[in-house]
Amino acid sequence: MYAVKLVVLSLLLLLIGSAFAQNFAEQGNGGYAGVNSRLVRADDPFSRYRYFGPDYQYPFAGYGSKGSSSKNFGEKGTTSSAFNLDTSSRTPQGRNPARISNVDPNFRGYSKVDTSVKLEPFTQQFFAGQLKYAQATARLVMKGAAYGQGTNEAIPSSEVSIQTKNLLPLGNDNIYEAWLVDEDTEYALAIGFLRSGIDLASSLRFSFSRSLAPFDAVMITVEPFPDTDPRPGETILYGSINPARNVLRTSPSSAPETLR
Amino acid sequence: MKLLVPALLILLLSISVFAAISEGIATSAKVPIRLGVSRVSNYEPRLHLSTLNQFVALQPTYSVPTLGVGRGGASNYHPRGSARVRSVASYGYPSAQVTLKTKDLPSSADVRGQFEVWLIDSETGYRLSLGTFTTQQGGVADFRYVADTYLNAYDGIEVTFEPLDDVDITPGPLILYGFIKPPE
Repeated sequence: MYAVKLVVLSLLLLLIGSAFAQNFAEQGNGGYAGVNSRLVRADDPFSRYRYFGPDYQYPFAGYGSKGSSSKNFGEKGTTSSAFNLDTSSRTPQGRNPARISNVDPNFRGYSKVDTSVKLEPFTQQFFAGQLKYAQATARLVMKGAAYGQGTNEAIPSSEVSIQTKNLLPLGNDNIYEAWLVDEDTEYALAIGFLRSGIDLASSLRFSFSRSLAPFDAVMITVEPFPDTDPRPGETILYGSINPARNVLRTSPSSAPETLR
Repeated sequence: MKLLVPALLILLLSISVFAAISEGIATSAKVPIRLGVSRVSNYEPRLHLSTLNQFVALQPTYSVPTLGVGRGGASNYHPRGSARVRSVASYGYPSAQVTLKTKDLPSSADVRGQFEVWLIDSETGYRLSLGTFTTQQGGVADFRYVADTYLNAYDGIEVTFEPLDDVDITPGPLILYGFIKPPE
C-alpha cells in the first residue's frame, strides 16, 4: 500500500511541475533575456510569425535608401554625379556585367585590376588511357597600387586565385607550383604550391602586398618535392594576362602596354 | 513491493560494474600506454621538411650622417630591420611566413619611393619578391608574407628601394640585407 501511495504522490508532483513549466514557457515570450525566452527562440526562431501572426506580409518598402559608402557598390549615392541611376541594387551582384554601380573605375586615382586568366596546357596528357585536357583559371585582383592617390589604399595588395582541373596526379616526389611571369625580363615569381582536391582538381589562393603591374602571365609548373632549386621547372599550363580595361595609372607613360 | 526499488537500483548499478570489468567492452582505462619504440604515432618523418624558423638582423648598406644636433657623436638615425623567416610542412603541405620590421628608413613621402623585400638563393641566383611596403616618418614598417611554399632554399633576405609607380620587377638599389642560416 505504501508503494501505491508513493507512485500516486510522485505522479501528482510530476503534474504540478509540468503545469509550472507550461506556465513559465507561455510567459517566456515577453522579453529577450532569460532561459525561457531563449528556449522560446530556439523552439520558434521566426519571431515575426509569433509577433505579427500568420497573415502578416513584409511590406515592399525600404529599397530606396541613399548614402553610398566605399564598401557599398550597389547604392545610389547622393553625391554621385557620374551615374545618377534610378535604381539601386540591394543584393550583391558579384561579377554580373549588368550590375548597377556608381563606382567609376576610371576616375583619377582609382587603380584596380580585376581580371581572369585562362591557362592552356602545353602538352596533351593521358591518364588511365583517357586524354586529360588540363586547364585552369586564375583570377587576379589588385587594389591600392597608387601611393597617396585619392581613394587608394597606401599599401598595395593583390590576390591570386587559381582553380585547376585535370592536372594529373604526381605522386609523392613532385608537386605543382604556380608562378607569375614577367615576360620582359623572363622572371617568374613563385606564389605557392597547388593543393589537390577531389577528382583531379586543385586550387591555390594567394595574397600578398605587391602590385601585379609587372606580370604578363600566370604559369603552373611541376617541381620536385622537396626542391632545393627555387627556379621554375617544366611548364604544364600557361596563360597570358589580358590587358585590363579598367586600369588607370597616374603616370601612364611608365606603365607597360598591357596596362594602359 | 518494498524490495522493488532497491532491486532496480542494484540492477542498474550492476550493469555499469559489469561493463567495467568485462573483457569485451573497451573503455579508455583499458587502452595500454605504449611508450618508447612501441609508441604508436601518425607522424611521418619523410613528409616533414626541415623546419626553418629564425630571426634575421638586417644591416643597412648606408649610414645617415650626423645632423649636428647637440654635441654631435653618433647619428640619431640608424636604418635597420629584423625579419623572422619561418617555413614548415604541415600535413604534407608546406607553409611559409616572413615578417619584417624596419626602423629609421627614409619615409616614402620624402623620397617618393617604396621598398621591396626579397629572398635570395645565392646558389642559383633566384630572387623571390615577397612584396612591397611603404614607410612613414620614422621609417617604421611592418611587413608580412604568407604563402603555401617553403623557403629552405633561400639564404639571404634583402630590402631594395623602388619607385612608387614600379612596373619593373628588377630590383632597385639595396637598402638592408641579412643572411639566413641553412636549416639543419
